[in-house]
Amino acid sequence: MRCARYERWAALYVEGDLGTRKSERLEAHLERCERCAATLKALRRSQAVLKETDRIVREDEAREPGPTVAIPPFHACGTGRVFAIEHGRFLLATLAGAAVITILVALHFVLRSGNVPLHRGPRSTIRSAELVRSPVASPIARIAAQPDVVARESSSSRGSVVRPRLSRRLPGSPPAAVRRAEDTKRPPTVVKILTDDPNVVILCIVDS
Amino acid sequence: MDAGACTMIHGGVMAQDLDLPSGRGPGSRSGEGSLTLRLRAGESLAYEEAVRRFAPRIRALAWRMLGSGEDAEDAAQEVFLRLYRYRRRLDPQRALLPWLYRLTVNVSRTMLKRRRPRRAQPEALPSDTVMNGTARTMEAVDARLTLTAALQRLNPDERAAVVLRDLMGHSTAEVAQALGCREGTIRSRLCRARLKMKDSITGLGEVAP
Repeated sequence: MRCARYERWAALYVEGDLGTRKSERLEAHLERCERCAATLKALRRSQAVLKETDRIVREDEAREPGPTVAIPPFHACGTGRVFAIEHGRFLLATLAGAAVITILVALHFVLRSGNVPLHRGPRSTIRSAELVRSPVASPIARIAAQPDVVARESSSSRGSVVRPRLSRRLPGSPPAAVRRAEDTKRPPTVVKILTDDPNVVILCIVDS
Repeated sequence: MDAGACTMIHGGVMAQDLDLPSGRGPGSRSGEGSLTLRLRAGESLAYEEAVRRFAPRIRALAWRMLGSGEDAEDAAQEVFLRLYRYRRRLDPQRALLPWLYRLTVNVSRTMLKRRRPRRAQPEALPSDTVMNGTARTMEAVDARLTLTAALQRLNPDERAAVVLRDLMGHSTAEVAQALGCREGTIRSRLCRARLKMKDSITGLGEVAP
């Protein structure tokens, strides 16, 4: 075997990193090879120098007052359970958010089920509203009370004067006298809505 | 500890703190498993204890890897920052110190690569920083120069193996565990490194004490 391999073994042997069998073979070789013995001696010397210099450096480091390691800033916490508190805050925030969302959803369904309009339209345009119960008080009510005429609320009456569409009585409808009597009992309700524009008045007939 | 403040802990290095007797692994120190558990639980006091306990060794390893006191401080800061950042990944069944050693070697290797564009010799240790250190005596200055010159010829892998095995006294198995490779790999690195250092120290004309 060439000496190069024994040199590599010697580099491990010098610190006891070589196996038992290889160590025995190396020791046997060193007895008859001066070159490898010199290599081992140089290795021992270099290792000794290295350890001695490292010892001096360590002693010098031990005298250093300054080396510092910064700890990342923690939140103030007397018990030291910083992360537990962070988790607690996160949990509370999550629960609060979930509660708010639940309340909003519940409120939405309550309002929907109670037929409370969620959107009333442009509030600023409506100034006041009054109910007119008398059929005589309103000309539209008078038209509705006429015998052979049925007043229907026009879908195109938004923002202008209500113009009810007139039509003749259908063949299957009750006679005029009967309908007149019913109209007399339950007069239609007329809602008069005043808007910001003084020239615009909305009149709505609310069918009972 | 003040909230929002960056607390500085002075890590006085005792010489015996750097030595681990053979047979006692880096992770076999008493209380290290409980310390890992406390770190995982998020105790700030556990983090302070980890810094106090391990900072000298981490700094010593970083200095020997980088050859610069300032860079070693930066590396130690980065290591403990990563310890804080990845505290939830800690395994209580495994020792903490080998993981910190591996972090230190990785951080040092990254810092050495960053030096590459502005230095002619990639992984060379900055010899000028030796004199800028806090060496107290001429003997210490000379020792730092000798140590730096000896480690300068090694690549980072060989340097880490030599520092952990020969200078910090860990066994080959512990070094392999810390660096995440096989024992045979560590032996190969040690072999090459010792032969290189033999030549460099002989070239410096050092005399054995």
